[in-house]
Formats: sequence, structure tokens, C-alpha cells
Amino acid sequence: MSMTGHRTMLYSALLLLPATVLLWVFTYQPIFTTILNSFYSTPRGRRPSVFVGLENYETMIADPIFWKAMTNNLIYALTTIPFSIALALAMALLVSANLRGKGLMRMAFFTPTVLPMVAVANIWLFFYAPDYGLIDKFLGLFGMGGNNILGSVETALPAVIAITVWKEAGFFMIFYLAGLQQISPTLIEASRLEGAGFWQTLWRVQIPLLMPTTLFISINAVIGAFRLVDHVVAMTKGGPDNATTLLLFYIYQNGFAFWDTAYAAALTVVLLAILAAIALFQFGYADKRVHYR
Amino acid sequence: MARIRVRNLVKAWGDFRAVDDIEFETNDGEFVALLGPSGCGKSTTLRLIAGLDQASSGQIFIDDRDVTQVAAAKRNLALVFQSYALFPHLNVADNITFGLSVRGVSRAERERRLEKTAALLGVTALLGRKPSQLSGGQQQRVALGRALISEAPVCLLDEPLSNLDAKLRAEMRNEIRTLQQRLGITMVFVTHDQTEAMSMADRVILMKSGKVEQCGTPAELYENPASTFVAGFIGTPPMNLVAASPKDGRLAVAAAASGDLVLGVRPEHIEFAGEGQEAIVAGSEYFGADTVVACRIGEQKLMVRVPGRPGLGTGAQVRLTWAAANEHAFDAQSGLRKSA
Repeated sequence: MSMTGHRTMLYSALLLLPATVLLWVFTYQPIFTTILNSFYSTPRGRRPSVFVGLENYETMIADPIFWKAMTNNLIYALTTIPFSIALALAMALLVSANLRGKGLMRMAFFTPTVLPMVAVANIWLFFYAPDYGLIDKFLGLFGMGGNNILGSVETALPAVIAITVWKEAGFFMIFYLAGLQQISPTLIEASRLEGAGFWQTLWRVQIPLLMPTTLFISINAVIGAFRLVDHVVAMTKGGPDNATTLLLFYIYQNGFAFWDTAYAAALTVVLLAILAAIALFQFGYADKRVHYR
Repeated sequence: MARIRVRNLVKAWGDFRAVDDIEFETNDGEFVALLGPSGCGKSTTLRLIAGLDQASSGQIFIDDRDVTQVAAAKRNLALVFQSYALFPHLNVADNITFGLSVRGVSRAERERRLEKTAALLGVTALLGRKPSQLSGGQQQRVALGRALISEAPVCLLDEPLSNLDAKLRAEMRNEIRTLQQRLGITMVFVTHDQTEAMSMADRVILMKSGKVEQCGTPAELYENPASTFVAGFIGTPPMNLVAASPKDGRLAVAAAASGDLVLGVRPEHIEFAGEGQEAIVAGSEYFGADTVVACRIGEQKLMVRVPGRPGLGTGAQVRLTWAAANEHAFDAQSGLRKSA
């Protein structure tokens, strides 16, 4: 290889170095360490960690709370994702229509996104509070008061789900709004002229043309469904009776409350595997089906 | 069959009147061109007829039915958009049958009409393709197909040929005209190209600043322009419009470019002759079959179209003459034709 060839190689390597170092130190190295740690026992006091093979995973399969967290997370994902996406689309259609005060509406819908999740949790804590909370007070007017929404096994998870939908929909709305503005108005006119009403135009023209946006949003929503646990930490701590324990919260609990870091590492590997599988499906399969241009 | 009648139609945005009190009527199965420079309100007029915009005042009738307040979908007309507005996510077959499917026409009926329409437009081989896989001309055919499959008696076309190259444009011009005559439908098409309007239309509605300047057959517009605007818009090159003064019952070109009388005479009607007004050749453009010679009389300029190559150099002395029948007089202030 010539002198300049070596030079170019050196330069490109140097240019890539900062990004590579950052990615390795903060992303890949922790992933590898986590995977490795999941095959070792948790070091305690003077007992160092030893290789235990799949023992942590065997514990996991036998752990009813792990399965409870998985089920909860599945319910959480299957409800928050479609609800927040549907709500986002509805809000985007509303604020893209030519209505008076649409600027104000856009701001109102977007506000939850700007608020930190812990602040949001505090606001909703007041809504959900028994007796003096907004919702219970309202129900009290009809003689249906005295509910401890966050304290009952049946209502705690739906309450947490409602907060997530409320928080995420405004964020997704922005993407739908941008997507709707990308659709040529003549296509909508053509659809109307051909006899399609609002719903038919929405179903046959707008939603198909918004599919790339929907894919992008759904990826974000899936990640959110496994990542957003701030409100669980702030409001319920997974309770009552693990009714609101989500996978990531359970990892946090094991790692930093019970200090069982090896078990937390094994749980993390499961979470990573789930997210990787979903990402592969979305980019590999769904991506090919939504881009038609 | 259908007639379109427009009465006192106005479309205003604030103080700006895009369409300013226009009136016209088409006959059954007529091919009508809405012609005018950009911003004259021709596309707005088409959108009002289609029902895509609401008229500020006035009325639109289709077959004596007042459709002014009727939704676009219920006016029983089809529209071909300038951009074709094909649905990018649907294939050609689904694009063409979109309206039928929306309106709940049975699958068998849809298939039957699709087959017929596709054959009519020669797009049968393309039915499975997406719009992005089609050329401009093919997209145009599919857009026409979507309009024609509804079998609506009125078809509106917004600048249907503007996105095509010159060769394809000439081809489609013929084809659209043939289709219209074969199906016997009323077609209204918007164009800014006077050649297109003159060669295709049964009747031309020439618009300017939101008003109808003249409405008539292509021959009427060419032979009897109602104003200097019409005279200057129709024909290539357009009619010469020069300040003139009366002389021996005829008009003579004045030396100065001002006056209250305007003489209009078409370049193809002027001849070089042994007698007539003296002029100096200022330049010429050769087109093969003919040559357009620019001549100067005083400070005024006239174009003369002569067959072949006259072989006149710049600065040559010539005499110009034309028949009295080809002389048009206009009022310099109003621009309107003077009835002689």
C-alpha cells in the first residue's frame, strides 16, 4: 500500500476513534459485562462471584414475580401502544384541521411530553388519591366514591397505563402532524371527489400513507413500553402485590433494592433479547411493507 | 349528457376577487377550454365547478340542476388533477377503481368496467404497477382512466398536458379529443397554452383577471378578437397592435406609439408589396416553412410572417400592405374592439 493509502487509513481510524470509544465504553462493554455477569453468582461480603452457568436463568423461570412482571409488561405494551397511537392520530387530525384555536390545542396536547415523568406522576397521584382525589371526588358525586385506584390490584395497572398513554400521545402527535402535512392536499381532494367521506379517506388514503410514520412511532412506543417506569417508581413501587411491577422496574428492584446484581443482569439480558427481537422484526419485516415509494 | 351553466360566479378571498362575476354556458358533449395567463382565475373556476372550493356568490348548474351547494362527490362529474393525484400506495387497477370501490359498486361490475376503461386507454398491461413505476404519460392515462370509469357526463381537466414533454403532449392532445368525441361527454379543460386551446376545443373561454374576456369558437377568437388582450393572446406570433390614425377610410400605422386608436393586424396577413406603408426591417427569425420579419415604422414595431425565406437584411426598405378585412380597430383606452 502506498504512503497516502496508509495516511488515509490512519486519518479515518483517528476520526472514528472518539465515537468508537464512546460506544464501546457506554454501550457495548456494559452489554457484554451484563451478559457475562448473568452467568455468575452475586458477590456477597467475602464471597466472590463464581461461575454458576444457567442457574440465574433457572431461578428466573421458577420465579413467579418474574412471570408476573412479564405478564404486566405485555398487558402494558399491548394497551399503551395502540391507545397512544390511536389517540395521537386523532389529536393530529384534529389540530391539522382548519379550526379556530388550533395553536392552543397543539400546545395543550404537547404539554404532557414536556413534563418530566416524575412531575407527571405527582400530578396523577393527586388525581388518583382516595376521597380527596379528582377522580374519586367526581365518582363520589354519584355515590361511587371511596376508591383507592392505585391501591387496588384490579385498578393499579390500568391507572399506570392511563398515565403512559396521556404522556406519550402528545409526543407521537407531533410525528403524525408532520406526516399529515407531507400528504399532498390534492390526494385528499381526489379522494373526496371520488366519493370517499371522512372515514373512508382516513382509512383508504391517509392511514396507508402514514404507515412510515406509524412504524417509526410504534418502534418508539415499544421502547417506551419497556423503558418508562419512572411513574411506577414514584407512585406504586410495583405494588400492590406486584400488580404494577414491570420488567424494568423488577430489574431495578433486584439490582438496587435487593442488591442481587447477578439476577438483575440475567433479567436485563431477557429485556435486551425482547427489544432486539422487536427491533429486528420492525426493521426487517415491517419496514419493507410500509415504504412504497 | 350534460350542460354546464355558470351564472354571476364570484370567488373572493378578502378583497381579492379571483373569479369576478363570470358567466358562460356549455352545450351537450362540447369540448371547452378555459384559457388565460397564470393567475387569471381559470383553475379557480374549474375548482368551483368541481366543488373543491365554495363559490362566494353566484350559481353553477349542471343540466339545469343547481349544484352550487352540492358536495363535490355528488355533482356527478370527474376531475383530472394537474398533478394527476394518483394514490401512491395503490396499484393502477386500484387507483382507477377507487371511486367505484368507495361507492360500493360490486366486484364483478368493477372488474367489467376496469377492463373496458383500461382497454380504452391502453393501460391494461400496467394494472399491477404502482404509480411510481409509471412514466408521466402513463400516469396521465391512469388519471384519465380514474375519471372516465365513473361514466360521469362531465369531465374536468386541470392543465392535463402541462407535465408532459412536447412530443407526448401532441399525442395526448389528439387522444383526449378523440376520447371526448367517442364518449360524447362534456369536457372542460384548463390551459394557459393557446395552441392547445385552439387546436382541441370546440369553444374557448378566454379569461383575464377573473373575468371572461371573450367566449367563442377558436375561429371567432382568431378572426374577431373582442379586445386587444384577446388579440395579443391568440396566435403565434400574436397580432400586431400599434397606434394608428384613420386615412382614406382605412387605418394607417402612426409614427408615434401613442394615440387613442389601436390597429390590430396579424403577422400572417401582412404582405410585402410594391405599395403600402414604408417600413424598415429590424431583424428576422427563420422557422423553415416561414420567416417572421420584424419591421419598424417610426418608433413602432410590426411582425410580418411570410412563407419561405424572403432574404431581407436588417435595414432593408420595404412596403407593407394588408387587406381591409384583416384590419381590426381597438380603442386605446379600454382596449375594446371598435365596431366599424
